Amino acid sequence: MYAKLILRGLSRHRKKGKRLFILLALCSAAMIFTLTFQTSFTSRYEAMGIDLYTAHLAVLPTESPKLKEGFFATNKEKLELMDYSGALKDRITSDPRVETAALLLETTGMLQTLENENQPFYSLIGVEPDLLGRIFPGVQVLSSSGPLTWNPAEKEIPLYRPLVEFWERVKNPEEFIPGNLKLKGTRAEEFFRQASQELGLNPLSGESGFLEALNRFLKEGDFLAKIKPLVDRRLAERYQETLDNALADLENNREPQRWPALKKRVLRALYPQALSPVQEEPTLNRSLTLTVPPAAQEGVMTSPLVLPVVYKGFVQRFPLYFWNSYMDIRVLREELGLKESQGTSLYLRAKNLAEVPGLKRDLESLIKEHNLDLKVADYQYLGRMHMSTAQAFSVIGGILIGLFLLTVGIFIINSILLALIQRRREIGTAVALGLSPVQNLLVFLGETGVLVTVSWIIGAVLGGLMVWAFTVWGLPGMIFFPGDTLYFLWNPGAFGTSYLMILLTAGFSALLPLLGLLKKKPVDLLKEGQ
Amino acid sequence: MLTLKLVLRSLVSHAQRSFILLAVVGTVSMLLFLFLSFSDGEIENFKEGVMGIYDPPSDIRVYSAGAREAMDQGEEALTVYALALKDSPQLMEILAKRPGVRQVFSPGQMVRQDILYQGEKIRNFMWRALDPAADPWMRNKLRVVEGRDLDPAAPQPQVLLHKSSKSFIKAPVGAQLTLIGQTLFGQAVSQEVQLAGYYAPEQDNPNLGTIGFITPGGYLMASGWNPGETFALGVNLEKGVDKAAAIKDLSAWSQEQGLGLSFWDFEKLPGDVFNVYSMIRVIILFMTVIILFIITVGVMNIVAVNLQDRRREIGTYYCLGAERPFLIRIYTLEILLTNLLAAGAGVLLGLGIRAWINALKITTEESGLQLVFGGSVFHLGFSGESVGWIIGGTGILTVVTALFTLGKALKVSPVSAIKEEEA
Amino acid sequence: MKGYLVFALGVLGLGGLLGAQSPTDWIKNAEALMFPEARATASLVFTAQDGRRETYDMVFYAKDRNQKVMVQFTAPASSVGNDLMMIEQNVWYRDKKSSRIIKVPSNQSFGGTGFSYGDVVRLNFSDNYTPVISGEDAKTITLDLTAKNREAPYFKIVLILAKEGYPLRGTCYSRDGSVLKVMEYSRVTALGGKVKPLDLKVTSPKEPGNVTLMSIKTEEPYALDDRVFNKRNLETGIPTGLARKK
Repeated sequence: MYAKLILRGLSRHRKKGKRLFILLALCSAAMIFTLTFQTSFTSRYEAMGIDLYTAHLAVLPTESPKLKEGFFATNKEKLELMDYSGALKDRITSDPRVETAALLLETTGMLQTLENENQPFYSLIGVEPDLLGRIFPGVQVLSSSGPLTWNPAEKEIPLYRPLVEFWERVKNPEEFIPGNLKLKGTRAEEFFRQASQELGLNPLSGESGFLEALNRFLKEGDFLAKIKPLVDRRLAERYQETLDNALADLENNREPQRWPALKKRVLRALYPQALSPVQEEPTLNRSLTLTVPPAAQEGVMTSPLVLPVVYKGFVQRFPLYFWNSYMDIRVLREELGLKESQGTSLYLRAKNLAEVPGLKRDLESLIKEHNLDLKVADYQYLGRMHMSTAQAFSVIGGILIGLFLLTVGIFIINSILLALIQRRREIGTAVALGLSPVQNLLVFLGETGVLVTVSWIIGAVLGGLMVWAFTVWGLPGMIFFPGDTLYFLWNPGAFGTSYLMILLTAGFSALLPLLGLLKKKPVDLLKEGQ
Repeated sequence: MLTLKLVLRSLVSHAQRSFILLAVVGTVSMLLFLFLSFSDGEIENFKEGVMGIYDPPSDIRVYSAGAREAMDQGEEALTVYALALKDSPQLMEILAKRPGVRQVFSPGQMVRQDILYQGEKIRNFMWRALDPAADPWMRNKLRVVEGRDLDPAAPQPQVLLHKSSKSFIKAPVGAQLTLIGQTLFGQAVSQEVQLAGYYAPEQDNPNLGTIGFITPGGYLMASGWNPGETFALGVNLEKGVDKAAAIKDLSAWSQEQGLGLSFWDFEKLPGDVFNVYSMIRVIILFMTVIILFIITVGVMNIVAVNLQDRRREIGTYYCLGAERPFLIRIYTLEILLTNLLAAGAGVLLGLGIRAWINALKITTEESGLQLVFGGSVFHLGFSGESVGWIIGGTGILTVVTALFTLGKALKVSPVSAIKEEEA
Repeated sequence: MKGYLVFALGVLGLGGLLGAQSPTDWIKNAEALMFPEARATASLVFTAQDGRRETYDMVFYAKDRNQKVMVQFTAPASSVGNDLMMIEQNVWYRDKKSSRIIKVPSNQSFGGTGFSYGDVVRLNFSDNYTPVISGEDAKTITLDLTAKNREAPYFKIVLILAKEGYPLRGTCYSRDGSVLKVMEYSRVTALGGKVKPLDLKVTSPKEPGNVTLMSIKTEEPYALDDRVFNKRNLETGIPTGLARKK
């Protein structure tokens, strides 16, 4: 009987319920989307942290900067080292729960181009090349011109650095652009005349004419032959080390792809008052010099450790937070004079995430038992900083869901109130025919339930389509993830949760006005002109 | 006029129904306002709090001609510093007298120096000058949690260190530290300073751990600037003064006076860190659009039902000779007024809640949450953009509602006016 | 710290001189005596607080009152090829093993290695400092040298010269008056027709117990072309023709 009444009521008033129906469907879709966004963000972010930065567990020296609050702990001069041998190593290598263990050497450095310009550099991670992909599978090699493995026969050490960021890109690697000109007005005109005469340019008038002629000059094959006499003349008049060095850099250049930039550098050294410093984009196979601090406390005559490196790969970095470069640990260890068992941290990947807490406990007791000066930190601790970003997004998502539910609630109350007014006589008739107020209430609740269910089904299809689209193409603009894209993960729970939440909200919202119904007498309901 | 009168009258006569619309739009506006306040607060926190300690914000930045360009083009530090502003006190004085200028200050350049304490060297502290009495803006950004405030009159330069550095340096308040390193100009310098205390920034962030404050005399020593010299000045304008116009005026004035200054819009200077927060802002704005869209469907529902119930009234209008466009105008205006009133009320309510939440001073020590909040204290901000977005959104909501509901709802025969009741 | 070496190079040299008059003359003459355009050989012994002792031998070419210096190590074997070049504010260091050159600007210290040259690079008295006579007795004259510009390596140097013209002691001060380095000159000997102290001891109150002793062994006047001091020569050696005995 209830089913009949509910369906009849719904079909009779389907026109009025149409908008409520759309609203509920949209809210369902939006909730499914938001819930999936939340879980996708959190689990993808956590997985990304594990894959790119924390692994599952890390065994660290007690004084390791990773165990300190704040970033600045790394400003201490000394490397905090640990020894991976004996009982610890025996245990880890024999533990079936451990999938990969990698001893790392983490340090900092100063990176210079062959022309001795400083490059941004943050942290250097020495790792066994075979283990890099296994301990940090997220550190994908995006482009590469050779392996990370150090070949002692080669002069240069391969270095994998993070992918080139947008602000490192140089739009005009082969040319001077108006932005490179520092002078304005008559001083610029004067410079155009002087440079044109000295370089033998025949420019058209004005800035663009000059730049065009200058860029043509840059591209000429006999640039060096043409520029050398001028540089020599200039140096004879007044010696300038920068100019002499710029010429030397060009003459000694072993990287043909850098020829244009080096030529520009010579011109900049010739006219430093008029041309801005030359920027160069990092490219594969580019040679650089990395200087790292020695492992032990400095000796007074200690020189820095100078490593000839070459960019052999650009790898995925942890967006926004970390900027790590990677090197074969063997060469770093050799240069730092460390033993094979020494490192700054030991990272572990378990076969199964669920086994991590047990593994951590066991390692802790082993450390205690052998009185080792070590600590064990899990991915949650190591990732405490970046994971709070995910927490915050969960909070934002939670607020949104709250808003959706509130919307549902308000509109359901509104609709029921109106229905009670408009369908007063209908209700009155039903009551007169013997339907108790409670039964009437149940009919209304039933109507609401059916409405919610049907609209949820439509919403679920819509939301499912959205989620599907974002699993395939990803949500763009998410700068927290590689490629600025968040790929959604299917979360069946989101469908169930959204249904339950909307149903409960709708039910409670409907109850509020309906409770008033219980107090009414049939006579009230049938009265005219209320 | 007649329209307005009619609209107001019908608003009053249908007060109960209008109230539902008012409540719905009001609540949603309030929530949207709070939502946007969150992102405003995040940006404000970061700009005023964290970044403010690195680089105090201002409306306009003043450099000597060519200095900013040299810096942006990557010229060497010494070349850039050679372009500093001289005689800054006089310059600040005359700038402060320009029309529209509210305040001129010297944001100062931080200098990197190491701390030597009990034979151990801790590298790379960034030092910023602070005279608590003369720089209330900066002073208000910190709280001394241990020890005393800086005393510029003390016989020895004093420093304040970030509270998180205590675990590392292990120096008690009053300890003698040596600052050692080089000035901005490469001159070897060391000085004995007294540790006045440890501070906590009002808005903390893991990046602030290495920032130390030093009394002005000590800063002059550490930085190597000559007295009166500074790299840039910050100019804040009177409320309501147009920034672009002010920059134009000031540039013309500087040229006329031969001062050789260049004026820049602070917000347009390059700064990568803001990208993250602007991105979050875009995401939040996008979410508000979704909410507004859903709300619009709901509002359409309410309005449609309302008008359905007011068929007689509509019929009566037709009977009295009213034309459709007139009715569309009346009803649109009615919805608009209701919505705007609701949005206004929502924003006002949101402001109240914002004040309450901000008074709670919800604080976190979690560095990750600090990054999300834009600082250590959760703060809901305020911006004209957010209010504009809500009011604008409500306006669009009204138009869409009017477009999709009025057409059908106004298809009423004049006969409805006298019909008894409809099914 | 290799910096000590640089420092020592900057202030060693010698050759006596002359009843000088103005403070500027005093330091110009001292510089002419101490920093001739020359090729010299020297040894440097560093003794650390913990008893470590390191000895280095080197050849150096210097010009423009030590504003341009090229240093080639001859011992120990591990240092041969790790050459240095100092031009004005910058120090260039060639690492033999990697055959790479790095540049350490004076206003940037490279932490963790003691490889911060900036504070000790070339002490050039007359270009960077304004001298004032602050004391005089029968045998010595004391000059207060105040930096002319803020790029000068030290804010102030108090230099005590023997009336014969050579330096006896120099104290380098930070802007706040604290002592950064102390230089003591000794072993006054005739070298190449000039009388000057050949030993220089450098100590620093900031690093008590560490002593650097630099001793000049030979010194020959040379004519050095500006292009000797180019970073390519750190790799290839100084081209013949650019450096000749006077």
